[in-house]
Amino acid sequence: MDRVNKTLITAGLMLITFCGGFPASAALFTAAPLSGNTTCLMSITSDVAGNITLASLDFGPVNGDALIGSAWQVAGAAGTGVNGLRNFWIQLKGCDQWDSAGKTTPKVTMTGQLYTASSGPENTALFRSGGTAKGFGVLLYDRQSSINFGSDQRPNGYPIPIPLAPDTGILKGNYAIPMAAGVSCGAEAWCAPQSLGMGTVNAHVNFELQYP
Amino acid sequence: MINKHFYLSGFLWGALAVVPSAQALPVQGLDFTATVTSTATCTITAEPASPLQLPDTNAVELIGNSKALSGITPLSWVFTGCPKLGAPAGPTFGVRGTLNNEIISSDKVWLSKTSGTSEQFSVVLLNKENAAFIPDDLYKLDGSVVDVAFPGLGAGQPVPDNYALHFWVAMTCGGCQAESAKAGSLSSTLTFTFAYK
Repeated sequence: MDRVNKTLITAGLMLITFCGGFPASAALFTAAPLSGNTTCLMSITSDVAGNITLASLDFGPVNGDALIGSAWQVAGAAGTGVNGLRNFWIQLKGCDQWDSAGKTTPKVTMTGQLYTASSGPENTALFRSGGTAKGFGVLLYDRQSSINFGSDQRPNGYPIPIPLAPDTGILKGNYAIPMAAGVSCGAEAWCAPQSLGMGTVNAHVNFELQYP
Repeated sequence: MINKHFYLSGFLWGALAVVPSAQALPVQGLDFTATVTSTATCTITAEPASPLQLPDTNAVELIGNSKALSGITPLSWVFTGCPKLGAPAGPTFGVRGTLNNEIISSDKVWLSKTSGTSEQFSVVLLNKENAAFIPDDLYKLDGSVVDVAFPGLGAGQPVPDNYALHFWVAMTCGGCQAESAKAGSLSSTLTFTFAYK
């Protein structure tokens, strides 16, 4: 057993040396908090208070006719624009001692599978993972009002700022990030009638709390 | 030995703490679902308009040849204003009619009669003008013809304006019992259904 432990200790020393050669292990333990109560509880909810958790968001029927020939517009059953948006919130609760060494405000990064456009501009913002509809996906916004359709859709990998978070890099307490989503055919080049078809649309987006 | 275990743990945690990349932190996923529909509704017009009048025919000639078709007349359904969006399964049609209860042979599934003074004569629906009384050229009218794709339109393709579905209608003594056949009037109602899904 002693031989085994010695071997492992040697391996640990080699790894630290490879990562930058900190002079003492005691300093390493203070570089990142590892004990309890150092994280946020994260959830997606349909209410700003954070009481109604969402695992999925169903837009229901969407009037695809309204999107023919559009550009970065969203639609619902009743119409386009804000009528096609569905709101939700990213909740960060019980945050404590999030301390980045560079005093950089933490972000929530959103990632997901994108719709593959057959022509036109490269797609960076229309999320789609499956479904029978042709040419439709989901756009996301990190605001719920005063949305400029065409420029406010957020791309894959976008770091969403946390409203009211101090720029000290420390999160304390609770935060609710207002978000909105809508069904779209994206860029005008993708919204020609021959590129679109009725059916179902599925998309999945992950939201990950990160700090540098 | 216990101390050595703690010592080892300390070194390994330290190694993790100095990894310079962003740290993996809480992740939540959200699924989005929607059903894209169209509010557009096709205008479907029969050409010629219903009722379709077939020409008078010689009953004797039909009785003499149970495979003969008489008075072949075109019937078209013309579509305008359909959704510009294609449907996953594409447009389909079905057709059924009141089967002629005077017919006892298995050919009855092709033969329709709603009313009339004639006996043993039926109306048939054909898929081509130069048709024969054979299964390849006839539509069954017993309700089994459903979800037939529109010719030339694949799945996901919208119905263009003025697209026409073409049929032909004729009279026959197919499947009839010649000794019971009698000339007279003949009426049949055929019901077409169209789906876009």
